[in-house]
Amino acid sequence: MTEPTARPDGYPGSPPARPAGPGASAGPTLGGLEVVEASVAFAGHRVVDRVSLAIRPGTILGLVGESGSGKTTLARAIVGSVALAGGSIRLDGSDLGRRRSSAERRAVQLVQQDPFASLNPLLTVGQVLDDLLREERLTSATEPGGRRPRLARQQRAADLLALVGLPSDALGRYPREFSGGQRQLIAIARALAVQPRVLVADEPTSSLDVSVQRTVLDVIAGLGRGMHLATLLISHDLSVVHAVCDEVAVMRDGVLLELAPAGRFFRHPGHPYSRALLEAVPRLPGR
Amino acid sequence: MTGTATRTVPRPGVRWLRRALRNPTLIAGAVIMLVVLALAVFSPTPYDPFAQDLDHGLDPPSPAHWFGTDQLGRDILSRVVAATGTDLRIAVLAAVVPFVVGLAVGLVSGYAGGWLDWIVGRVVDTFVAFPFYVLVIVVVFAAGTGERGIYVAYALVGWISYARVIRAKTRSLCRQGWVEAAYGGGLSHTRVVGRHLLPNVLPQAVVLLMTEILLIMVAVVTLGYLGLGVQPPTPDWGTMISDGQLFLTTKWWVSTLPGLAVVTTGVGLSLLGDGLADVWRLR
Amino acid sequence: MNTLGSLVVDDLRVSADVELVHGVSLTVAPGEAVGIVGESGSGKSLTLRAVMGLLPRGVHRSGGRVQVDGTAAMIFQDPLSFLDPLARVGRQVAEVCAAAGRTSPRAARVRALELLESVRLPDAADLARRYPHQLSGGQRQRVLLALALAQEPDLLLCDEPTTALDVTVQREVLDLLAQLRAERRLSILFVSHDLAVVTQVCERVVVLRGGRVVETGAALDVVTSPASDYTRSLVDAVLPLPVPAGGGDD
Repeated sequence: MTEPTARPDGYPGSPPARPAGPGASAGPTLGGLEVVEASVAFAGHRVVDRVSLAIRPGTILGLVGESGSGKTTLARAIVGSVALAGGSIRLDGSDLGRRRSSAERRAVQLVQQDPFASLNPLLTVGQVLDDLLREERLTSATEPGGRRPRLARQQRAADLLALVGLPSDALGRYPREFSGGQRQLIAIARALAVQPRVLVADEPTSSLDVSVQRTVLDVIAGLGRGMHLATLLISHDLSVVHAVCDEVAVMRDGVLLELAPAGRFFRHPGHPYSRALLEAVPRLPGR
Repeated sequence: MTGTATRTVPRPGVRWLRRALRNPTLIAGAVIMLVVLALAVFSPTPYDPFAQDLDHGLDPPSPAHWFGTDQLGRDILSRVVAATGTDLRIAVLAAVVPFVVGLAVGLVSGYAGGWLDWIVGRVVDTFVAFPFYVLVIVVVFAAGTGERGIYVAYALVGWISYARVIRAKTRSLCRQGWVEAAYGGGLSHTRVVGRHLLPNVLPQAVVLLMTEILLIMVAVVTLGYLGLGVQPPTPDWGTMISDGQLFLTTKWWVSTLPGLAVVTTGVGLSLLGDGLADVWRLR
Repeated sequence: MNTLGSLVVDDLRVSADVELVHGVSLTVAPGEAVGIVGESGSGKSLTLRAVMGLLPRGVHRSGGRVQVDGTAAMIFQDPLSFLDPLARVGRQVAEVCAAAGRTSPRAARVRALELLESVRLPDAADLARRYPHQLSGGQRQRVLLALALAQEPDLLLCDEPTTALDVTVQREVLDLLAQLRAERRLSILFVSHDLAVVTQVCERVVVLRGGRVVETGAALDVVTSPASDYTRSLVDAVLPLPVPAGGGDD
């Protein structure tokens, strides 16, 4: 057994000291995720229209919009499952194309909305995590061959679960044995297993009960900041964005209407539509 | 919200077995097929299935010959048992190549989508438009009668039904988030298909396999009946049924009892398939 | 005294293989709006469906009494699955009007248009000629509301009617519901997981958990000074959102 204080590598306290990656551009590297003039078209219709935004490592950008605003399509473009019709998506200054290498895919992880479709029903949580950990190639000299031995992978999988607040005996269980909230935590652990630099969470709490919503949000925000990830939190729910985000972006009909620091956005929304959204939210009396 | 899952849930294998043991359809199918399989493997014939006894041709069922004798005085029970081995072997062997090919084609085209999937879809549609038996008979004519012709015919056209079903299933699975998550996690396409998709579509393919073996068996019997399948004197249910056709009204046992063997095996396979589909909850 | 639109549910039990709703009792007075809140698995939807007699297959009412005075109609979270995809929406509303009686087919068509206008659908005549898939989510929910009104209900049962809608559309539908309620003296039983929505629509709230009533009371009291720990945890779980400065408070 390892001592309890030992942290799996790459975690808070040891920000990843990586090279800028293959093909690092010569331009000014700000770090984090940059979406530059990104457009996505379906059947000739632009569902995302020249959207630009940037997320620094360790910060959280909240992207809000109603149905049809293009926010989910933008998320899919960022993780590389939808092709761009124009513009670019950059990670630490280097372009992420449509066809991404294994390492590039791992760098940008998605937490999906539906926790009941996001886990393979035939694999245990441990098998899912192990499957990803096996792919990992370590450069450290202590692990010749680059592959983590089996016991180390098990330990790492247990550590990942601990990070999201799940007991290690969950490793031997199948997805059907977990509630929606627990599945969402497992999906987060899976995303973190590949040591990403960007975390995209698409409506991660909208199919959950309010009582677990807070837990899942706190885990995403806490680990996103702690691990210096550039986090994009997409939600139709402004109170979710208000709870954890540093910056807020508003989209409508594929266009970015406003991008502002959260403090200013919630007090003085800059766009009339932002204000309309904020005012339409039903609030509890006396709060 | 942690630590709530304290109740122990048995492993899927154990759960599967429990459901299987409570499923009468599966049990009945399995029992019939075990008996048929045992007959095929051990071939416990009371007489030599080839031995002719022209003095006792077309004898009705008796204590000495339970199923009676045919026009050459051969013991029908022995020939029925011997034919089990022939026909089942051909059916199973002929089912293997289509199973593997159809599964692979269905998985790859369903997963890849795009132009590859489009081509597979058109090929499948084209084959489906032809009557299946006509296709098989044409190929058997071209490739030569007997076992070889049957194998070739099924290798060429048998994969279609798997490809169709598995492609549709794969496409619907690909819309589930875990497929995207596996690829997004850095796994190769091969690994996503092999490790994640294959186990999820395999039950469907196996259920289909049971139906296909049954269909092939019937086809082998039919071809035998038409003289295009297993050639005499090798015992085969189809040839036996065809032989007895001349005396069907007076010497019923010559055709009927081999026919009964076909029906029993068919029912066994179809119960097994239905039972598996129930236990795997495919319906 | 006029009791049209009142509802009494007494010791309602709903079971599948096991009992899911364990003796829920509640009342709706004529013209009153009562909300049922709870998390998934609380039995809130089953309770509502049992009142309407629309329980899913394999689930049945295993005990208790439901007494509705007058006609009840229901609207749902997902209107698309309650609309015929192959019929124009105007015809669907007209059919319900005709089935509700008293009208010739011609009068039913006129009435259908009136109803579509009454749910504030812009350009109702044009909209009546469209098919359900050609409408937006908010428009579909209004059509469903028109279908419910075509039955001349005294009691309107609402099953998460705004959960699938965008906030701005939700606001419009909730406002519409309040207007219709005032115009037609409707009683309302409103199920939602969203405490804030329920307190906007309803005067009284019933909190369900695991198929049992945890708490009942005036909506304002329940959210400002919950009597049970469970209700308090629900209220605390609602994420706060400040009202932007300089905006019109309502």
